[in-house]
Amino acid sequence: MLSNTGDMEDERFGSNVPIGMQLPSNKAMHTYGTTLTRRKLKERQKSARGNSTRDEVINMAPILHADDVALENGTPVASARANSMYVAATSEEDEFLNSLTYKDLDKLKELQCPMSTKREIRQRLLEQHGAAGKSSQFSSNSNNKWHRFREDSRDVMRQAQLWRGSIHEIEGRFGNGIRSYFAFLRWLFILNLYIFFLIFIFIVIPTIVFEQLRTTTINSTVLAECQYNPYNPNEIRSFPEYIIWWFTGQGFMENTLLFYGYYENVIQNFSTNFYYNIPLAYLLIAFFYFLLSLVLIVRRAASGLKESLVLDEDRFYSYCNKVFGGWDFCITNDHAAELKHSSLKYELETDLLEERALQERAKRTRNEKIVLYLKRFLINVVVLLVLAASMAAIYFSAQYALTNTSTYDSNFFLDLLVTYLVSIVITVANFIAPMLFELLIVYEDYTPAFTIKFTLARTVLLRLASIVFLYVVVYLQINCNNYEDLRGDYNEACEFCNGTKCWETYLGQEMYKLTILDFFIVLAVTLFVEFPRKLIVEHCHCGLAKWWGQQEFSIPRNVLDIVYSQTVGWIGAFYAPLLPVMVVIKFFVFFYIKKLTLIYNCRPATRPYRASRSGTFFFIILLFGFVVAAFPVVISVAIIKPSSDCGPFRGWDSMFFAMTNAIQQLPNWLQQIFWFIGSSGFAALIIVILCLVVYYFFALSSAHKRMIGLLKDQLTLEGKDKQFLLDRVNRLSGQLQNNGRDQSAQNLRKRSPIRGNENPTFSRGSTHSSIPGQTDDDFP
Amino acid sequence: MGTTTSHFTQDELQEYSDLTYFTKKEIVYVFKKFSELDPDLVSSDKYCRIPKEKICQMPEMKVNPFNDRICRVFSTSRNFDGSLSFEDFLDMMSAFSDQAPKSLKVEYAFKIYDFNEDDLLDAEDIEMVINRLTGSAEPLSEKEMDQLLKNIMNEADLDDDKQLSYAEFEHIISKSPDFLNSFRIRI
Repeated sequence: MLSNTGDMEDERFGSNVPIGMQLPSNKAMHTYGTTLTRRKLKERQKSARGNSTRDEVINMAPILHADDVALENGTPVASARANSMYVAATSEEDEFLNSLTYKDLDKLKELQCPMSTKREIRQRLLEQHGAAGKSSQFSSNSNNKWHRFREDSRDVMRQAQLWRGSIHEIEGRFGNGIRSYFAFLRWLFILNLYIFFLIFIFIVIPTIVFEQLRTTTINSTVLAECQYNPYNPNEIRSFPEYIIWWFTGQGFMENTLLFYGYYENVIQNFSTNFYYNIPLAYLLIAFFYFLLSLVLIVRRAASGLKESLVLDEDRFYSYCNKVFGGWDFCITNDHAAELKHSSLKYELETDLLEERALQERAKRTRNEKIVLYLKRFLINVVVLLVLAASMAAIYFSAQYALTNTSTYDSNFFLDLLVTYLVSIVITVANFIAPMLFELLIVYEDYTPAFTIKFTLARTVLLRLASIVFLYVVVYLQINCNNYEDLRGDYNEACEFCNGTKCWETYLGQEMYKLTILDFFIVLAVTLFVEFPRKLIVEHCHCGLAKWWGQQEFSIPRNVLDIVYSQTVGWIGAFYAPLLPVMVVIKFFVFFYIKKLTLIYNCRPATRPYRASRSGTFFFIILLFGFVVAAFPVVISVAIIKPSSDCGPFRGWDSMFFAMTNAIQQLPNWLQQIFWFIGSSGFAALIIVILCLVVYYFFALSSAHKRMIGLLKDQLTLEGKDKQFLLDRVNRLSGQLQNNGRDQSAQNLRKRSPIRGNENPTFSRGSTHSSIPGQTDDDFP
Repeated sequence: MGTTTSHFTQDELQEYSDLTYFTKKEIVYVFKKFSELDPDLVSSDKYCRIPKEKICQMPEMKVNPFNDRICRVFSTSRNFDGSLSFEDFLDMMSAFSDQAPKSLKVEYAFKIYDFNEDDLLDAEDIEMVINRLTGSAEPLSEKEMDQLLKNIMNEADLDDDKQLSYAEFEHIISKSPDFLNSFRIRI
């Protein structure tokens, strides 16, 4: 191929340069050395207006011309090429280079030209600057130092980034999509680390310290019957029971820093003005880590969302995206490259196929349509039934587990099973139902892209619904709806003590168990399913193994797994303050397990998940998880009465009381401000303002949309204008040439058959002809 | 690293870091990578040019279907053989780095995809790109290729002249979410 280019160029840039090549729109902007493009030129000019008074402007144009000459000494091809490009570009170049000042030193890196040219420009800038003003030397020096310091620290930060090498390796072997999954895992790991430090510093440490300081014990003011006695250390238990407790968070585990129940409602006074309010800290920290998570997620999701919204608007750009952005330049591995080739081919083929299928779909008969819709309806009913069944299973298992909590005298394995019942049911439902969904959706006959999305949506619904449902069950319990069924000795006086005297700790335990179980399930699936599967597929050549095939590393499913873990972690962080440290450990181990299974057990998915899309998608799913986690916590803080004999809010009517209580201690004017912020009038005001802002942006975006449409039309029109003019010019020049050079024109046509194909502008459009007697054959 | 640092003075390093998207440490690292390609040649003359064939042995370049184009675009060699000096190499790595802005990447991408170097992407260029993307094993059928080319032109060719100018290319890349992610080489 490359050997050809010489000849082709020779023709193109020889004496007969087609007029089309010389059109400004074709050659402008993108030329050797000038690609600071018009846009940047404008930016420059804008900023130059402000600076030019102080900064001397340097004449930079000669450099590029010197370069021009140097190039001309190269091959004839090069010189012709360089010439033809430079003619049009010089004026722009001059203008741009003249506007360069010392301050633009940073922008040099944006220049698309060889290092030697850049260096020369830099040298000039430096010289001019040195000669011009010593006065600004100092500030620029300190500026420079600051700049260098920032660069150095950036260097250190990048070196110190966690798992940098691993992620780099994964990227090289499996490409970008899978890399983004691991980057997401790392992001969550760090987020949980933040949450853990927050809780540890502001809640756990003060609690430990105050406990040491305190001499008197707080006596419970609650009726004896309702008192919460989690564990009596004097009672002697068997060894297996300790093991069970480790896994269930009961027994001696229950009354530790791990769970909500342990924390006390104390306000430690150090002096008259300085005190530490643990309940308030507990509430504020919870608020703060939810806020932190939200801000971080939204920041990440928003940047991606913008891109994908742009993409959604112009769905037609998918082919260009695949062709021009298709190759992953990060790939370094032969096998991965091969896969990438085949997956790109597969993708393009399926897209084309889909397009054709879509055309056929439009021709579907009415009967076929009815059958299809009926099928879809039935399958949706089945899906809903599956969802309902899993919810029911969770409900009944939770009921059963709650009523049978204190049967420790029986078989210890059975005990473990009973306490883990809810977690097991949830995990099994989460494991089986998605497989069912994947089987069912095949019959619904959606487009492949929609199939993936729809399966995911169903799975997300299931996963998050199961957590919500667990919440609902506990809520029903603490509201004593079934109280009389659960315990015979119902007592009006303590309406909130039932099977779960400290429901917050109970929830914490559930989250603790879910976290542990999830961890072991992933471990077990990797070791006992994926690994043997790989062995079987590799060493057994029977048909079944072939059909089964090697495990695919499905990004959506894996993402869902960690989002689910994170959701559990968020809820758990409130009821079991040390749970984040477990989540941190869990994600840490996950990273290595997933990496191992990816490298040894899996092959990348045949239909690759695009990195750009998945980045946004991860965070949107995470946002869902966040809402699911935050909503119940907010409700329990605001509405539900906290347990009366455990936790930092004991004895209060609501957890939010910690807040109102603290505000009342404040000076009067501050109180007024807080009450105002909390009032409904203020909320209404905020909502109105938000509505206005949203409306404004909505109007703005629709205006932009219309503008884009108009500009596109204009572009098309101008393209047509250009073609028309070109036609005319060609005709006229052809006519001129025909007068004297009939022979040479024909020769030329024989020599350049390629160009005729490449530049159809020159061979078509005879419809525009206004010169009689002229036909296409006469054109060179 | 101690030995490689001494290849450049602090001023040189400062200059390079001003002109690329790398910090000094990264530049030293890039030089190390560069010299690994041909240790003998580089140790005798750090301004030497490493031939295209050797550059293409680099793991990042080896499997890249556009490796010859990349060499050619970044090469400043007078006889257009695609050989790279260290400065060319640094330019290349800088353009492919994470920090490089989209605008710079788009410009280089356009050059890379412009096989016949006429500053326009025509159907032939695009066909070449597609063929290199899908690999040598079995190309797309003619019918598919035609359909694909037609679709791409429908999407991108705004002025309907059956070829993509730089402005049009920049426009579609601005709508291509994958481009920034994929058009980079990590050092």
